[in-house]
Amino acid sequence: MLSLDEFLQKSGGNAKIFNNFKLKADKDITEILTVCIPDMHLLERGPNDDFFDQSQEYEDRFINLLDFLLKLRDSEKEALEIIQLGDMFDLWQAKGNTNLIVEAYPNEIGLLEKIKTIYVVGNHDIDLVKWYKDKGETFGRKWRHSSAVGGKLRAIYEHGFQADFANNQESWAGVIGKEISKIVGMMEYIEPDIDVVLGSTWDSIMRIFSKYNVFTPVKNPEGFNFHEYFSYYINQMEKYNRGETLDHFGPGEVDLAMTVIGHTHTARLVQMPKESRTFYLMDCGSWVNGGHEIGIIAGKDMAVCQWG
Amino acid sequence: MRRVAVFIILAVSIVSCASFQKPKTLGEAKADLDCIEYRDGEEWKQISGKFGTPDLVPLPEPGAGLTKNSRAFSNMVIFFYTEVREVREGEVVRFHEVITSIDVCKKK
Repeated sequence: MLSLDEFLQKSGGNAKIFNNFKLKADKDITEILTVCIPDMHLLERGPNDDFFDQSQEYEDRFINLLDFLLKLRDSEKEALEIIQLGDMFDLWQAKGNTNLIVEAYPNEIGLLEKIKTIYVVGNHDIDLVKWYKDKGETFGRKWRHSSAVGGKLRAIYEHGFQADFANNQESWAGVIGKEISKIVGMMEYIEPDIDVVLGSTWDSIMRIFSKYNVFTPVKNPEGFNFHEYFSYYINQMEKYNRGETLDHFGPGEVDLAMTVIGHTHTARLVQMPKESRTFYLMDCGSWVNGGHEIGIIAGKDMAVCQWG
Repeated sequence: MRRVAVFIILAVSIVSCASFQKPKTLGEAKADLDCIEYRDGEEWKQISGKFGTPDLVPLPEPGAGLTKNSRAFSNMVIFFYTEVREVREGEVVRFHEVITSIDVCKKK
């Protein structure tokens, strides 16, 4: 298996550890080098396309990453796993469906296919698993991916909206959140950066509520702060480890220690020791509005890197 | 203030209605159309038998002879079938969207 340091070296200086987000786990998390690509939000290159964001440089940087991963696939063969963590398409703002987005981005979509990417579904492209739900067609999208070491599950990879009060499409708050996103999308035709401005304003408001603990939900006492996701995922991993799940894994097959997500567009890598075990949460950031992050896990080593 | 409220209500209503519409599948889009798939060498009689007399029958271009003609129907629907195909551009692999076939259709 290619180590994290070897990956960084092979990238020729293109991959750099972001914000010192690098940790070493006590036990292996993966058996193969795993590269995670977070939210891309591909649209039709219009003013509300946050991947292109009116900057050819952003697209060139992503293509450069894919060219590198194609070479890496050739050399590492099956000892490499590449996971796209959802929201590859932004179907909330698309003109119809994925059709004209494919026209806009044949290289990105073709290269992701060629490097055998595993796709996890996000809240903005969840329609991919809904259109043909009755026929079982999901266009290769998974709700969640996992990796195992020695036959035991060690890490799960999902988009992250599942833990999000305002984006979980199974809740009323998520449905409202979707409608607000569409309105913001319409406003981007007038002011392309309105989503960034409103996002920062929302974060500022939530920081105040977080400080004074105003909206603390009973079910999730850590809600509405930046570790909301962490407590949700620690609970989920603990449940899996105890065997309290409807999935087919028994407690003997699970030793979860890490969850990898995207969704927030804010890269993070945090650890939390709890009852003789350390849990890890990696948020891989995004490829929107100039974001250029990837998550890397190789054995015990994990890092969030920026590319280019 | 009232104007802002009206705008928000309208915006929510418009985007909500849009989100209720499920995109049409290819089968649904072709359901009320009569279609012929383009194939080189297809008998013209197949076309005229299905679509009738053409609306436009232009003169042959000079030099083309009288046996090479063009005919046109108005109010037709054309489906271009596309796929993303790998091409090599020097050292790198790139992908182009290409047309693989065409369906010419008329409303039933």
